[in-house]
Amino acid sequence: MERLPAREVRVGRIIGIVQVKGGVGRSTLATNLAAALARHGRTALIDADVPQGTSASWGKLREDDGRLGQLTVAGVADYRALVSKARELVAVNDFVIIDGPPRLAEVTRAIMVMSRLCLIPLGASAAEIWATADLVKTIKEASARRLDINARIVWNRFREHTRSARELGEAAEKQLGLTALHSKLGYRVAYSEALARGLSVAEWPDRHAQEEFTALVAEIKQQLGV
Amino acid sequence: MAKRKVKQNQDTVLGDAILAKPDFEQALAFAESLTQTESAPWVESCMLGAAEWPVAVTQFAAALMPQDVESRKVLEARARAIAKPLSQQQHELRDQYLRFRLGAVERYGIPYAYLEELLYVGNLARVPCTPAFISGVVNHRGELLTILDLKQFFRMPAVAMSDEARIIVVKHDGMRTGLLVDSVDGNEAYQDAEVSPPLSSEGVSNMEYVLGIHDGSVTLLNLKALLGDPALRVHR
Repeated sequence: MERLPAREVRVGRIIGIVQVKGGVGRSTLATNLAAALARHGRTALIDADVPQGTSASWGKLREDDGRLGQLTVAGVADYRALVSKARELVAVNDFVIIDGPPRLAEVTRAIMVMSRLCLIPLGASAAEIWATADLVKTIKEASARRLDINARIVWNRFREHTRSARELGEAAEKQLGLTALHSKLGYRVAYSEALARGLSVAEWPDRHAQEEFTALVAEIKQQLGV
Repeated sequence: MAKRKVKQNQDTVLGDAILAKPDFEQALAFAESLTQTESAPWVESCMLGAAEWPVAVTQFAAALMPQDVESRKVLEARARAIAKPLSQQQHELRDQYLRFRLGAVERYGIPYAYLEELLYVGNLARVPCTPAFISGVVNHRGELLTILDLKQFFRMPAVAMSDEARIIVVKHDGMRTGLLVDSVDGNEAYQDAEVSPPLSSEGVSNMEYVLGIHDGSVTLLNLKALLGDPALRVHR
């Protein structure tokens, strides 16, 4: 098992997953990333989308099946509890993943500032791109206060072979002024099926989903310098 | 040597400020700055006391007001919400509802307070001698869960069930029920003042089960009334 050097463990890495629109795959990304990173080091997943609690429910199913391993799952109800929990977990974990709520509330703002890498899942639909414009405003607001937010779009439910998706994707990145990760997640049943069972795509028999998520994790680790 | 390599790699990807993260104090301050927003000038101007309005404006406004009691109640609630200082509006607790579809187009919502979880439609077992709106029962963690077909209950046209179909598990008065819907879209925040009274032309024919309309097109269901319907109670 790959372990991080002691100095890096102490620092910990917070990865925030934010998006103000619901149903774009925040929990899909958060849970799969948590399961994947837990294979490399101690990992915590904080569900800040309570009461919906999709990630927390996934964690419970995983715990019931004895699959947690190096993963800890927690839920928080507000931004103060979130910051306190993140402070506690980052000291004892290599990675802390925070699944944000689908609104631009205090919790989302705190996640953006705390995270070393902020992932914004986005589907190639106009509604999702409009919703992301509000996040971009917050990033600019933070930047005006000399707070750096390292945000990357993660294209989700992406139909690689359709021209409209590619064109819309390129236009959105240009319009929003945000960079996207090269790895994209396709429109696959595997993600929802695995999520509902407390599994990750690595534990679900869909080779394409497994390969694309492995590529995404590798790119995220590269971004984090792991 | 290995450590130096890792450090160099980080430098090429992330800036110094990002490397210094996490900064919890700054995160708290930035989160809290959302509630410290000053009221916009137009809000201040809207908050002039009625005594300061010219008589003609008051008369004109009165002429535009709807006359029925229900509409006036909704408008008054909205006016009270709008009249609050901006920071108070943002900080006020908003309820959430789960948005779903019945058929391809009609959008509905149920308040989060009733929501337990979402299930895939698995092995739905039909139960003989039950009304058409009872789709059947499923084994839910060792417990039999009755599934209510909302389209049948509201006498809406039947459509074939797709992969998007889900069972929304709700709980009221200690009783769990599954609601069969065609797809689940996500969740929305709302305040009572934003919910307008239902129109009789909405898809649902049983209007007593409708709380109101949110965002112009989402029919919020009154689950308390719906789950309390005598047709759903056994031994009656």
